[in-house]
Amino acid sequence: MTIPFPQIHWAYLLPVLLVVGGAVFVLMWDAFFPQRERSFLVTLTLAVLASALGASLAAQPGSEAASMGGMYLYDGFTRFVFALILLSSFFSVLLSAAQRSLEEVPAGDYLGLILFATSGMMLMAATRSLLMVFVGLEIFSLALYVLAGFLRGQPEGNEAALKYFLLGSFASGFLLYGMALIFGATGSVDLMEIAQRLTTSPPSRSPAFLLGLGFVVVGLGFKVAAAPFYMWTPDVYEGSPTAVTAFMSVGPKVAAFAAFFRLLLAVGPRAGAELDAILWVMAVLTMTAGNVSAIWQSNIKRMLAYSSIAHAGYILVALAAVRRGSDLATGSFLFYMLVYALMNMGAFCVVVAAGARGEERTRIEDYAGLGYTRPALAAAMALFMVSLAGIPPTGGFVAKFYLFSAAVKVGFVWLPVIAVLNSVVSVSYYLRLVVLMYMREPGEAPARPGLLGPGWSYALAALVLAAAGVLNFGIFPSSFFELALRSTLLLN
Amino acid sequence: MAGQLFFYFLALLTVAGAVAVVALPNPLYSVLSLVATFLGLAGLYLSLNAQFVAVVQVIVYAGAIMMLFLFVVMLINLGREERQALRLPVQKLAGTIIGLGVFAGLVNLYATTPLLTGAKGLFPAARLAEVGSVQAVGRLLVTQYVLPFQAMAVLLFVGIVGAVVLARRRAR
Amino acid sequence: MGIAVEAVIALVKIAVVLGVVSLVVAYLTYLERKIIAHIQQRLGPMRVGWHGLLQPIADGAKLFLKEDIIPDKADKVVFVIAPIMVLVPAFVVYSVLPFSSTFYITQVNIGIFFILAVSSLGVFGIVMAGWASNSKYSLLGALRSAAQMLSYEIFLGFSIIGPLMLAGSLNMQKIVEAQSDVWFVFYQPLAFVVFFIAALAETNRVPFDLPEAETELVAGFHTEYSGMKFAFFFLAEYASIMVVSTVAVTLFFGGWQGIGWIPLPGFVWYVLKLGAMIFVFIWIRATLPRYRYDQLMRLGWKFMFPLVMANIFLTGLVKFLFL
Repeated sequence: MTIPFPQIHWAYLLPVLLVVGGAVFVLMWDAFFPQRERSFLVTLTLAVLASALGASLAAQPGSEAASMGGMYLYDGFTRFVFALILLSSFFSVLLSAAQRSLEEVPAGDYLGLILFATSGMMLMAATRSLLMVFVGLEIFSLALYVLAGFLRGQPEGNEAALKYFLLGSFASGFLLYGMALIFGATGSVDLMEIAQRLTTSPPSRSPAFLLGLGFVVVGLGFKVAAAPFYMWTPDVYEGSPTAVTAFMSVGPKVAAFAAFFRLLLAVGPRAGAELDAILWVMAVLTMTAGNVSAIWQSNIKRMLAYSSIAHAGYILVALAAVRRGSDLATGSFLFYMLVYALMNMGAFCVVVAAGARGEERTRIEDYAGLGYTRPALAAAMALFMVSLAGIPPTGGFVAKFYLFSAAVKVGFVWLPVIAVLNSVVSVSYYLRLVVLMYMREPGEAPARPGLLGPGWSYALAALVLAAAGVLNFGIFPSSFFELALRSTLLLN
Repeated sequence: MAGQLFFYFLALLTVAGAVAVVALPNPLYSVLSLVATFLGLAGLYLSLNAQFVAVVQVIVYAGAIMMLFLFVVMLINLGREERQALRLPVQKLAGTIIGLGVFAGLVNLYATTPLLTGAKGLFPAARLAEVGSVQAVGRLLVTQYVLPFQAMAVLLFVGIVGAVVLARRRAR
Repeated sequence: MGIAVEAVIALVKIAVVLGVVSLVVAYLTYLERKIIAHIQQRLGPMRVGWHGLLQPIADGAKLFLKEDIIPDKADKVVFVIAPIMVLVPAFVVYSVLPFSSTFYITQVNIGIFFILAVSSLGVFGIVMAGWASNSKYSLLGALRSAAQMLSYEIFLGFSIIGPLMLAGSLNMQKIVEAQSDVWFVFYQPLAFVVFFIAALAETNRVPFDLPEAETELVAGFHTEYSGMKFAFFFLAEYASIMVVSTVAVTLFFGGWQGIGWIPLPGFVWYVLKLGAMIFVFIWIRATLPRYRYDQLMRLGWKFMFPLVMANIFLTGLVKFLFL
């Protein structure tokens, strides 16, 4: 019995292999040489991520994008999403190194899990097969469940991990059940084959297929924290270590939205108008719930959690447009994710950097007068808030502009209008923080706010990188937007 | 004829076990009933010539996972009083109604939708008997599904690492 | 009518196998007592029959007639089911063992795999027994047993992959045929060592008899059992020893294949090898002290697991490069 060796494009697979190999190496290194300096492992992890980024940028997607029977798909979209995921992992490693409360944790385990989560996200985004979507999703979910509860001494962390785990497993069940139903109705887990079956035979209208599609939307909706499946977000984001929260707010969303996009690109145009209505309602609910709830928050991590929900709502607008067959929407999604990653990571980095050893500054009140005590940090925070609110000349404005105009172009009227109204609402809570930082005297609590921890250089690097990116994309957006648009060309 | 008898016996075992899981008051009995259900399922797989799936069903589900359940139930060992508090009549009613609804939906689905898997899929029972269940699965695992196969290895590894991280004493 | 006849034939075969295995297993206990006694310079059972040859039968009769005690605080149902749950898997395995090329109850093409699966169910009975007894010794024994058997099942499973890769089949008969030139134990010494150690642990034998360590736990999971139910646990243990010995002989020692020129029928070779294997089991019991719990786990996960993984890797590499 001879078994043919499967065709593998190693150059395309290299980014994933680097990340997985790096994860194993970091874990092993810490297990065998535990006395090493922590900074060595951090540098190593950053190097792994950077080299993976390099490898994925170097690998030009060619005509043979799909390998291993569509299990692995390396096209322009994948390449861009890889860059996004690796960027967000890079940031979260920087943030982790800067965060004081994470100084005591076993670095190898922590960084290894971050890298494993990264590899899961990459696998989820780079595939045409529902099977790999699920496996990738489970890889990063498992890693994140553990990362959420990594500070075991903190009850909030344990609560976050447990909530995330229980609800996340439940959502995974929905996703898997949906996939099984789709498989039953179409006889395939490959999105391209499913799309073919839908055009040639009638099962697109079959209840099994629609039910399956609905379940998959529920499962993915949970991962991107879309309404009404977002309830876990604030608690989990609040309880997790801040660096992990930052990671959670970007990486999984990129991966899950990427899978969502591929699904809709394949089956969307043929799945009928029900999906249109579902996406419309989900988008509106998500952004409204996020923005309205964010106004009342007194904890900055909760506020950022609701803000991330709202941003997921904006992206759902793009999803709805994609279902109507808009390439512009995919491009603007990629660009939006890029800007969102930078501004969100930046905001969380300020939260990390503002904290002192043993006490994090998580109450919004803590930021009163930050403009006087630590002007540079406050300035960065103000920039990120302005960008998150979508005010020019920041990247946030441009990204939103592209996103909403894509929706307008495919004939949506009310959806973009509601989105813009939501943006206006969001200005109130983003700017409240800015007002607090500059127009109030510093409170009593942080008597000596000054010094950063030993990880200050990491925080500085992250802040400079994020701020530069946000400003650059706000003022000179076109080249990167072009890149994002070009990345969608090879899709399907 | 014998095959049918076999099927009805296994189907009865599977369904009765599943009903017992939810109906029995003692969680330990529920776990044991679930084992019976899994064994019945394994028998059904066997009768479809899917020996590999059957064995995996026994080793993984009946053997390993239910053992874990049993551990939890035994170590928590709820007394009669605690179980009283866990009656949850409203949830039980709602669960019954929803469960029956889902069941009706599935029956309807099966009756109306031409499913493209199973007998119409790549490996119906007859073909499986021809190529061999283990051979078929093994070949697919190292060719078409090599990436998910390897990715599952990563997934399991992450699970182990996570469990160790969460379980170990807070040292250092 | 064909079905009825087939069913009757199958039932007869099952009855024969059950009877023979039960008897053999009963005499295994005699063998064990005798061998250990001689190793320890004693005589062992001498009174019932010539050199105590009828001892197992007397023991059986005694256990059968003894009062069957079910403790008051025990969970009655589970307490009664547990010994059955232990015994049934141990005997079901015999349904796929080829006793010779013509006599077997059924043939499945996943042979060895089926054995692994069914024997993995035995641990349920042990855990149930420990829990249902409502005694701390029993529960501790059961917990130890579960952890030990679940861990060592992994090494057992992985250790047979090497020989299976060489044989290219899961069918017991084909595995034996593949060893017509060289027994796999010479190609796969590492796998055999791991398999043997794991088999000791799986059958709860010394040096891994922590679940029933009498110095700590009275008699572990079956402390509260008496009469026939106790006998069931005993039968199951020895039946399992027979099964793992059979698997060892099949996978590593060429099954019914003879050595060179000696003209003996295959069945005799089989029994001889089986006997030697079982003798080693008993010999080890007389020789080695018990492991501590943490030592058991360390041995398994830190030593045997990497070893057996390396073995699979090496086997694959060699097969890929040279065969």
